[in-house]
Amino acid sequence: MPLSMAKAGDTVRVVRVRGGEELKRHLSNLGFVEGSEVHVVNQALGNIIVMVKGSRLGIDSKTAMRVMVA
Amino acid sequence: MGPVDIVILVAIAAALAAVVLRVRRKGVCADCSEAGTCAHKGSCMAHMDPLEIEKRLGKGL
Amino acid sequence: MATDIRVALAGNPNCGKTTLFNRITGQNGYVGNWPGVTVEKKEARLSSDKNVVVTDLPGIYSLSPYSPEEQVSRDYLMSGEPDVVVNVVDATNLERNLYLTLQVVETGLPVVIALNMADLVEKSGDKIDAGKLSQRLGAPVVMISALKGSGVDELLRTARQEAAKAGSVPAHRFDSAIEGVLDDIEKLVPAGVEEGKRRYYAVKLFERDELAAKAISLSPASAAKVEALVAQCEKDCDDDAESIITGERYALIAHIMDECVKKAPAKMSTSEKIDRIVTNRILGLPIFLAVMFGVYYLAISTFGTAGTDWVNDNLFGEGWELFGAAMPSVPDVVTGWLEAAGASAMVTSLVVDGVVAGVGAVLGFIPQMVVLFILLSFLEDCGYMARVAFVMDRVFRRFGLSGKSFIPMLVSTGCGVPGVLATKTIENEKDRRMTVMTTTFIPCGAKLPIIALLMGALVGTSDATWIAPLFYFLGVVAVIVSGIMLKKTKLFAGRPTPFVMELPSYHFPSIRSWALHVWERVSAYIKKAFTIIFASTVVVWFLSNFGTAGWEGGSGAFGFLPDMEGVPEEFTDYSVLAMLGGAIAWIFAPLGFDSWQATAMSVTGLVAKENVVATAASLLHIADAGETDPSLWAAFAGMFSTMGGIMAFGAFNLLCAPCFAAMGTIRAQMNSAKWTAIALGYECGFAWVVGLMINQFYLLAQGVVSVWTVVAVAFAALILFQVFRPMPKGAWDDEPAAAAATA
Repeated sequence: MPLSMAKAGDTVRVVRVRGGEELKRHLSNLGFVEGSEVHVVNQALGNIIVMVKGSRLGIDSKTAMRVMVA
Repeated sequence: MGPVDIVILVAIAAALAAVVLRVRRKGVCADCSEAGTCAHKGSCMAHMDPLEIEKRLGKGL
Repeated sequence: MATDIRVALAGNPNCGKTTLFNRITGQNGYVGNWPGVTVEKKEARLSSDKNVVVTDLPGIYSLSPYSPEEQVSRDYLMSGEPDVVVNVVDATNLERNLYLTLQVVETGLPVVIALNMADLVEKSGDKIDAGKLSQRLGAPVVMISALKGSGVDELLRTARQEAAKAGSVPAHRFDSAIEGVLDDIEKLVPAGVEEGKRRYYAVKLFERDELAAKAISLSPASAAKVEALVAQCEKDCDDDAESIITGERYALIAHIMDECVKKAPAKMSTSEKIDRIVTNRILGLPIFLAVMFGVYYLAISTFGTAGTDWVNDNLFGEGWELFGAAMPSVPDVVTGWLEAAGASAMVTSLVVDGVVAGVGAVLGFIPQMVVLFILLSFLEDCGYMARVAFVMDRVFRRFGLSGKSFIPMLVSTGCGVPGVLATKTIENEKDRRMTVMTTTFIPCGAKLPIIALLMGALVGTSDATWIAPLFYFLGVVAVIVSGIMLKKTKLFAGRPTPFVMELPSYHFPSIRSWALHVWERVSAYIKKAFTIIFASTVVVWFLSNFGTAGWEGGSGAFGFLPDMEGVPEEFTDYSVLAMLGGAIAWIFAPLGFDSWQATAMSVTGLVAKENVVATAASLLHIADAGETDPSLWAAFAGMFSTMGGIMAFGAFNLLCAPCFAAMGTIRAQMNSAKWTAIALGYECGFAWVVGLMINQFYLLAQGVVSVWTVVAVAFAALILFQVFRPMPKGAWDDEPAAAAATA
């Protein structure tokens, strides 16, 4: 499922990152790679705050939709 | 107009000239300059590259 | 042979690299640009050893060939210039930072890893085994705190030692299958490339890095062979080359972290708890509004007011008390000096009614400024403002903007110049232009005196304290409304950009940096008062004291008005300033403030917003010199005929084009005269319309109707229409539902 659907408090794992080259690269630089663990801090209608690779990131819903997690 | 007046007027004129010069040299913001003598270069956005600005703003904004 | 030792400083943005750089070089470096790009280059010599040159590379996350910052860094590292690389790693973000470290080590250069903020990690309960880490990475690891200065000497010593070495061999190895492919590729790297760098290029070639291939002049034949190897590997792994390497790196890092870092037991941190509330979908926005309301209320209406009132009415007004003894006010004291020295009435007026009154009024608002900036700096430094950008992103996104556009607005609450500059981070050109145009709607520090003055004038006492925050929100609303309206026009329509922003942990700002921020803003304000405001008040004095004797019975001659025969009380009405102001005052008639004074104030406000107040104070003093000065508020209110006029005046000045400094910055950011004109034109136009609506609706409430009422209603309708109409077709189409379904 897309990251934007994860609930606050969940800890999920990245399965795939969709999107254009630049976005994928940017995201992977920040730690959104297959297999990395993502902890959801809070969710607000798709805009989401997560902890990944030890840092806290705020992401908009469209971008979050591109990160597939399980 | 007595001598005291002249003195005061000259002083004011000099002060004005100083202000004009300072603005020329240091830029109107009084903090930011193109001449390279900035008081807090570390925190002024004019000298940061965009990635740095964003990270800076994102962390300890 | 004393050849320089060259050190390269590399690391993620925000890892403390620059703090370290400043500490070891003493901030005396050369700052310029790397040739051919707009990336800043910083270089300096160690303060402890002039033979060591340190180059601070831009903050980067990896050594890919995609951004100018990364390219510049790679090229420099591969150029043969640096003798050693000091990789500054943020220990509190180890996993992410190591991603770059692995690549830096791969370059084959001697590397020293500076584990920064190691003290913070200890505090959090995690334990890092530096020895094991060093083993795994193949480079010495030194724990430092760039902020506190600990470990820096050892770091420099180690760096010097490593610099003497010819090169290093990366200790880390990927999965054996990948290693096999890399070995094969390495054989294809041209013989001319030195031993230490071959592995680096092998990896880059695997990643299909074209810049690297060009750098080593890979022959087309070899390139084809490399491509074949890579393609085969991709098939075997069912993945693309870049992802393979990225995955390998992160897998390695995970192993390293496992071995070298013992994490403290996980519990929901305080930051997380706070975030749950502050970014809550329902509460987030109201919380922000309440916070800003509180900030402006506290600054302008409570502590601040007492201080400012005292300064304006006593120190610069009627006199004050010191331990029971009555002390004269500053204007009185200065007048005393001048008269005793034998200065003429004219010069005395210039000094007292012009300079002292104008500059004094501006300085008088310092108590409120201080409170405001103490509060704003706290919010910025503790990390809350980052959350606000995130919360506002949701609001902005509905109208096609991203939260990134909100950041410059947060900065603008201090000064519009860095606010406009902060728009650099918005990649989308249309969004950037729009943000530049609207960010100065937010009241900056210099507009604070206007707000305070208005509040006093509208209310008399400090009762309706909601007026101050109201003006702040006026700015925010102006931004949002403008954003909505403009986004629907062809000029600005487009998809909202993705928003990814790092949110720092909440932390109580260090008193030192907090105080420093406040001091920076306040001292800038004071400097401005004594330079630009000073110059403006002198000019205003001359323009308002000299004019033609055009009153009844007057000679019509040009000269110093107060000294002329038969000069009436309101001599300033015949001054040059009155003439100039009167020439364009008609523009403001429908807004309710068509006196030449109001026009003059607004125009001087273009030089610096504080001038609105300075000019007001100066004109008031000039006009009734000799009479007991009523409080600034009351006198100011007296310049207008209606409340509506006062409010419209305030709104106009807060929203119209900013000061020269900000305008110059807008021009620099827009990089086009046409767009600058559009920006300034829009700002002034919008300000005028808002002023019109305020005044006309006020009059309407009083039962006064005129043709302008109709015009105001028309504008209001136009705005409402543009705001609420649906987005024109094709402006930005959402992802087709089909794509979203293929999850």
